[in-house]
Amino acid sequence: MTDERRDEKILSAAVRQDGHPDEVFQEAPTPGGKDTRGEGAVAATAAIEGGVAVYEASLWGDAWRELRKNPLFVISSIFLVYFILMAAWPPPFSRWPVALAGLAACAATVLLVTSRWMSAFTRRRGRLLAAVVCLAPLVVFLLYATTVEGQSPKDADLANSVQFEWGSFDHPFGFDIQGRDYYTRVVYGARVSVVIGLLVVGVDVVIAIILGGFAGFYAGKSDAVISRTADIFFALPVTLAGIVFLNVVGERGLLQVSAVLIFLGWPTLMRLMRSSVLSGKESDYVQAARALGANDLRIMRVHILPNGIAPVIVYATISVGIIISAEAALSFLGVGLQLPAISWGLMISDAQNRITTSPHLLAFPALYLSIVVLVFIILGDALRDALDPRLR
Amino acid sequence: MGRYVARRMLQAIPVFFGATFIVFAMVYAIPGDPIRALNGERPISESAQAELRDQYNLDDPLMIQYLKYVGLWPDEPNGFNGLLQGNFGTTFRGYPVSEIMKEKIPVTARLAVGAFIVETIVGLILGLLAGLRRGSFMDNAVLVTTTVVVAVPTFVLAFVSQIIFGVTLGWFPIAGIQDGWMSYVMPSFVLATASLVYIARLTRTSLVENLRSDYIRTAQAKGLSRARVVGRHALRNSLIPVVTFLAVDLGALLGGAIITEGVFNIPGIGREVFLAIRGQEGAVVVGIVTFGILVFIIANLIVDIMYAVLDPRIRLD
Repeated sequence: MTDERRDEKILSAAVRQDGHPDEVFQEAPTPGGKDTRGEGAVAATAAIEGGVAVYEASLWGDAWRELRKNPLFVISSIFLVYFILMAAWPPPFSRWPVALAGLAACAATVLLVTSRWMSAFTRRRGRLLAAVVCLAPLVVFLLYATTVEGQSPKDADLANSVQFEWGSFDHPFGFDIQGRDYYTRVVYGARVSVVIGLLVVGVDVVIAIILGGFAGFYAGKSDAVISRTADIFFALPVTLAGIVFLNVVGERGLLQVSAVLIFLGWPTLMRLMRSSVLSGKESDYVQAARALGANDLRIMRVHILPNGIAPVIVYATISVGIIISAEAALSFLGVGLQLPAISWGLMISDAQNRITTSPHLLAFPALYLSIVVLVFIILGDALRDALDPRLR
Repeated sequence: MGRYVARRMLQAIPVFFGATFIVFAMVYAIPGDPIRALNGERPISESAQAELRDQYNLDDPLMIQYLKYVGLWPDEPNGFNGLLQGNFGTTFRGYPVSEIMKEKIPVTARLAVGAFIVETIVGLILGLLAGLRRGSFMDNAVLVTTTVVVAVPTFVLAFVSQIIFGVTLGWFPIAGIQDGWMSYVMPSFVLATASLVYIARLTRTSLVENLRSDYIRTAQAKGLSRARVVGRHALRNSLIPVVTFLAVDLGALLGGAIITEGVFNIPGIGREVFLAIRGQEGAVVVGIVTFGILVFIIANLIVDIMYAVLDPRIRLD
């Protein structure tokens, strides 16, 4: 067998299994030398048997392989899981050693999911078992957390008002003005930020897919109406319009603030979706699907959406951070959430008159807020790098 | 080209009316009777209140109120007298809103220009440093710092800089505008950070992409010096998106910065509009927001035209 024909065989083996040929070539030895034939044969067999070298090539599959190797993605994913857990179930996290254990559990799970070993394990034992193994550290932590008695963010002792001592074991972040444990308050504050961020962007993405898909797919009148409406909302300055709108609402809770932010935030994502659909519509595979008789909904769902949604997902991830920041800004200005809600924006607003005497009141909520925003920005950046083939 | 400009201008008209109407409707939906709120210790008589209500068109349907405000519907004594005629309305205390804006806009403009200068200079330098050597230490340093800085909310950044540069180091005044241009330095930097990060990243990406393109390879193959390749060929094309972003951003900055002006106690339109919302001065709120929307739309219009001039592919579309 000549070298040329050997390569051909590896290639055809890879292609037969819907594989991506590049990696097979990487595994294949360089031509020349007398051992070539034997090694080539081994590589070929490995490829044929569906070994390491062959994998399914798709936009998201490639992106995942890229992401798995990105340390920034891994670290920010750990914090993402950590903050979501903290938002979902704050009491155990109000004890900082437990919270630290939680962070470790999140790290273990994320590191397992992204490990090379786990992808091999999944291939051998199936997804179900892999999921069980990956989630094991989290489940163990959650079981342990049920036995932990959390601190209440409302327990106040005025004697402790604005006390703060570095390295205190029981009260690492000191106390607020009412003498409530500040660490507990900061932990409980995560809920508002995470819920509003995810809720607002989630709804905006749905709006973007429906309206943007519609506008892009059926150009013409409906596109004109949707796009011009988006232009109007886009022209409204977000902070200013947010203040004006929220001032009208009497009782401002989580839902009201979210509604206003949804209302003001949808045009950007809609435009992204629209332009994505607009360009996807002209592609050859859509033409092919149409020729085969697929209806509009199927073309949209199966062909355009999976390929066109990448930029929307990237921007949506970053905008979770932007929305969290906007909520904090509105609460800070006094038009967002109202007391007794626990929000980082409100805490910073309370702290502003004491920034020189008790800087800890500003520092800790600001730190947590910045970390959460940072996590989403880094995740978005990592997703973009992985999903945009031009950057590779 | 003329048709393109005309089309873009026509498209801007409904956007202006739509956006201002939404704000108008929201402001006049503020709960509570603004006339009754004027009552001090001695209540205003019912007839005087009715007259004021009539004067401010508060008894008209919302749509008519809006049309009168814009100047598309005749107001009894004066005829058409609204935005289109250059009248921004009067406050409930009888003070013309345009006077307030004349007083506040220069302050905001100074802050906006300061921030604009900062973001242009610092943003471009950072973007160039990063983009010219992709993957270098400098590139990574710029990426990391810009990401971290953009994650810190503006109001936190404002407080932190107040503590560090105002209180601890004492380099700049902490708040207010009594110290001339010195008092604008710190607020300008704080206001500029978000856009600065964006400009640095935009310059970097755009430069990296252009440096890879065929015409750069040709220029290098011709034997041109690195400075000429970058300065003459790469930079000119790379800066198109940056320049357009700068124009849009200047428009946004002129619309007022509520948080920065609030924290640094700068009496510009951002702080004014916030105080007006609190004080139920609807006319001031609508006037200033309308001004902001107008500047935004004009800036975008200029950018679109600029794009068409700089990039022939767009106007031929």
